[in-house]
Amino acid sequence: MFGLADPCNPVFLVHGLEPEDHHLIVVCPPAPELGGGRVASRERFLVMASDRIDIRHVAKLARLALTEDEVALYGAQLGNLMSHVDALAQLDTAEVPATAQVIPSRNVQRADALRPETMLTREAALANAPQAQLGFFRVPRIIGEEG
Amino acid sequence: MSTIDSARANGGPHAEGVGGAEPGAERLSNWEAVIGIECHVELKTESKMFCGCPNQFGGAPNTNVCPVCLAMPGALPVPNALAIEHVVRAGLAFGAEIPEHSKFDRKNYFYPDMPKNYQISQYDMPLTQGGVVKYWLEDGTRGSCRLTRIHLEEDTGKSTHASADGRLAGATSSLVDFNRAGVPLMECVGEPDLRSADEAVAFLETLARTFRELGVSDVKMEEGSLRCDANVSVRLRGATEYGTKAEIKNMNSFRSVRRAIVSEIARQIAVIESGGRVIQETRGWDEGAGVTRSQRSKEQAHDYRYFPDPDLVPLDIARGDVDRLRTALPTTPYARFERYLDDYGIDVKRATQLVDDARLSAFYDATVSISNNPLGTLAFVLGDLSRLANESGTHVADGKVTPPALAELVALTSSNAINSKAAKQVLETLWAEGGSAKAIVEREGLAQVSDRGAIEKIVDEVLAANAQSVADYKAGKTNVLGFLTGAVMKASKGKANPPLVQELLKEKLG
Amino acid sequence: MDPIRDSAAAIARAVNAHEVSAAEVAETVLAHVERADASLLAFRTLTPELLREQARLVDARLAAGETLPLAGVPVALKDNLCVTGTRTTAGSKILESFVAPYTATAVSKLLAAGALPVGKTNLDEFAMGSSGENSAFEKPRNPYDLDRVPGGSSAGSAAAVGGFETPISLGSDTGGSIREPAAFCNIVGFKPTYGRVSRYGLIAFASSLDQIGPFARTVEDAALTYDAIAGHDPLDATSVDRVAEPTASGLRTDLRGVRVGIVKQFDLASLAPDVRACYEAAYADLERLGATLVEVELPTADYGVATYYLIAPAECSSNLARFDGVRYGLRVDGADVGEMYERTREAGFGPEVKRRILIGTYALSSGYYDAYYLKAQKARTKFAQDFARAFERCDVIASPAASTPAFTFNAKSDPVSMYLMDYYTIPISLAGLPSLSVPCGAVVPEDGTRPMPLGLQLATPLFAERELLGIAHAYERATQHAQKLTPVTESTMSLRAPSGNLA
Repeated sequence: MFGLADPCNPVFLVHGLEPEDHHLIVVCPPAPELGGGRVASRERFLVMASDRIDIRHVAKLARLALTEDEVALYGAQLGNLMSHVDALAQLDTAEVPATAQVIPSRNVQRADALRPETMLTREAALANAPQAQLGFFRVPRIIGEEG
Repeated sequence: MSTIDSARANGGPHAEGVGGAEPGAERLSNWEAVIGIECHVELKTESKMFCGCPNQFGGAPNTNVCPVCLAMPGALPVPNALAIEHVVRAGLAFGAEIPEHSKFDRKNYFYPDMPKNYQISQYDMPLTQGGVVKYWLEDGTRGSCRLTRIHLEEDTGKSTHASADGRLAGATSSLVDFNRAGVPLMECVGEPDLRSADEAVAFLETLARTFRELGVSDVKMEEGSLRCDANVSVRLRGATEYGTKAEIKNMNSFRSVRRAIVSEIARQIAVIESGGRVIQETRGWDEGAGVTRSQRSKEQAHDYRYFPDPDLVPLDIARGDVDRLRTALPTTPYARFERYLDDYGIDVKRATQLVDDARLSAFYDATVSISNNPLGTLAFVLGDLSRLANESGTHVADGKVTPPALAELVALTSSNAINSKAAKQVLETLWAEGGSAKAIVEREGLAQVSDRGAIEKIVDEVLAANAQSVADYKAGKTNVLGFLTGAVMKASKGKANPPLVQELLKEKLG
Repeated sequence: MDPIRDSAAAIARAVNAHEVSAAEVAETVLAHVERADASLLAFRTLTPELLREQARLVDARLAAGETLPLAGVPVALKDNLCVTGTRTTAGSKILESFVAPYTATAVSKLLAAGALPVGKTNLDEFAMGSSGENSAFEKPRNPYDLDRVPGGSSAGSAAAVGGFETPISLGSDTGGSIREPAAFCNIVGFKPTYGRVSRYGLIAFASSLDQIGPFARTVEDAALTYDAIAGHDPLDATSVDRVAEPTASGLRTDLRGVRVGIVKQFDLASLAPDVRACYEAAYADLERLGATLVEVELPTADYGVATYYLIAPAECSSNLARFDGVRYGLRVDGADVGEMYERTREAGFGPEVKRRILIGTYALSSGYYDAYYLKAQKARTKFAQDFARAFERCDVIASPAASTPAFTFNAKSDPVSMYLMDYYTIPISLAGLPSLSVPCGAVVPEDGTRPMPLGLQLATPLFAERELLGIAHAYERATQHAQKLTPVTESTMSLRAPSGNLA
């Protein structure tokens, strides 16, 4: 259980596990699938050791050109956060659906109608453009399809 | 076919396939092509999917935008109810299952024409699942292809590339226009049940006809409102496992689709037969060169990090609404085609012609429901009536001839009350003035004379007046019959029943 | 009437009664803020043109016989709220020069109610932080001790009101970003039920958690401001289609019959002794006003930080993808578009934003979605269930808003220690409940000499804003803790406008 010894002090006790033992927790990541890795009953296998985040790979996905120093710093900081997050695996959520929305709204839609008052003139649309040309937004060349 | 044979004779198969023709029969008999079609269809709505900008084609760049479709900071999406209904109806038209619950998910990836760098789409709870698309080929063969799903998403903007030939490769910069960003898009995914380019095109044509008829899309490939990709693989006939597939993109017309698939099938067969391996990749169709070209390795799959869009709330689709929409569906083009072929005995070509024009088809159906004479009605509708319509630039359904009037004309003709020449005349009058066929026949005195005795009298007169022709006929010049028939028709002021005239003439001439 | 010291209610009364014009209020406040902000650094951008234009409009409407609920009331706006023609930065270099082409619905409503926009306030970058130190620009200071943080992420909005620059301001709250700075700055900070106030025009951080809410020096002013901005917006699909009953009138003055839930897991024993004593006294005050204290449980409470720091970063990693140098904001060029994206975002985002984008991307990535994001959304349901059970036995939950008073700058260099500042506020955010912080006393921190305020967090079931504000009002009226402290900057403030017209 995630015990809050002292809310001002970042040392946490994961019930039954000393912090230095975190690296002993092994996980088999579910086989990555196209588009999200949705696998059914993996809840039991979900504790990740803190040094397993591939910061470079994640930074690539997020289009961040991190420096080597940043990779090291964030790796450590996020590893620390993940070791707190790991405790979430101990919460029993087997019988519980994921929250879709906290409010009871369903089916919010709008009639198919124009809203001219929300539209922008081209001038307004391009006003903040870092580079515009002939009414277009101009960007450097695109190499293949991004991902 | 001969081109393929000569290519083989010259020592090797054409790696890129021969433009247009399917590979030769002997070669293809070893191989089976497996094709799955995926297409994106822009929906016909007033406004975009998630904002109130007009859903319209063209326009000067970036003049059809708002904070939402430009993905300004702080902007939020609100879904278009009509777009949702369109997708449900599209699914119902193919017998798809409409789940009780659905939602929108974010598909995350970076690309300059995607303003949010995620696309609002549907991942694991699409609006429709399953369904079957029935199609027919030019020779009348019928087939079917299962649908995996149809889901709803938004379109991207458009980028044009500043390079010598406007193509992506070699461009130094790109220009992006977001007018199209946010247009509602339906993604239809078919199972790999198709086995030839012809089947694939027929499948697409059925989709297009149906969507047009439902009013969910204009389906104009040249305007980009229908875009499709084909997943193509080959395997030895009789094999149970699928071969490696390639995804073919950039086909801009049905003709391109056919040519590209043919080309790709031939290419894959050639690769395997020469000892190579087909690579799983995306290939772009090059219309000019008539070949597919590798674009990138599909092995490097995107990690789209799908998750439910927290700016939108879940959708519940009431069974009552589904039933109401299902009941209100028009007869699908395929169902109509089947009726024409099987119940009415119409040939494939003309049945297709009818089905391709929904309004003509509706007019025809309305007329047949009164006349109960499908073939007789068809003769008029595709014949003289269509000719009159084309000549005047008006659609049949917008003309002055009403289904009841035409039905009446059909009845008059088939009962021999008037002959075909008179029928033409009545039709032209109906087209010009409207009104009732019977009334015109009476007014103009066009009723056919079928009274044997009356005609016999005229026949006798004509024979008597044309002794030379009679002699010629008896001497063997049987084509004189035509002249004599014409003479009887003229003498009867065109009202005589032509078959009866011929019969009597033959009798009397011996 | 004193437009610097008086409440919004009093200002509106005077302006509506034509005792003073909106224009006069505007000039007084503008001059005052221009002086006062040198020490507080609450404001990123002052908006004098907009202010004066609005004042003109308000005066014209009053002349035509209208009465406006917030007539002539100066307001500061957190700089993650889009206002047409105004530089809107979200506290980030990536939007340093961005001028918004449209106005957030909540702001439009506020202006329609007669409020006068003084300027945009500094915040933790993209609303990520609990101190204001993550601002890429000025880092606001606590009006009660300039060496301490005002809290975050709505740092400037809290400092502006706590420091008597404006009587009200708008902030936003995702995991505590209104309630915690309110506690630190001796003011009322109110986060409505998720969906009560439109998010259209609020630069998104975590879509399923973000809410706009008011800061004020009294509960009544907070209620007045909330009434002006609440309500369904067809431009926000998550805004609830429910009548927002007015809350500002008829606020209760005692707590007879009210059951106050004290959460077992929020054990005061873990707090410093003087802080603990303050909260014990606060709970005792509630009882004195007629409330019954009831122990309730939130068994999932200790998973709050973990749950929140998966959901919020995941959503923000997607929400911030649009900052790419293509259509607006900073662009750092590259040989190709991919390089441009990477360089732009590397240069434009600060460390905390990068951390959250990284962790969020990770939590959603292939193979990890089930373990992290999905798991957290299930945990979130458990929070909702916990609260539902708790509210069977109580009408309002009371707790500390934060475990300590305002800390000094650079005190929390470890990110996770900063995250823990949200321990009490996060569970309430996860359930979308309406919640506020109201001043409940002060303590002298170990590393300081001046007494620093503490805030009492109150939370009610969904959509029970009226009940919540009433309970807070009764407590405030009886205890008047805020009045017992004087901001540092107060002693240097002049009460007279330069023209000497206002007393």
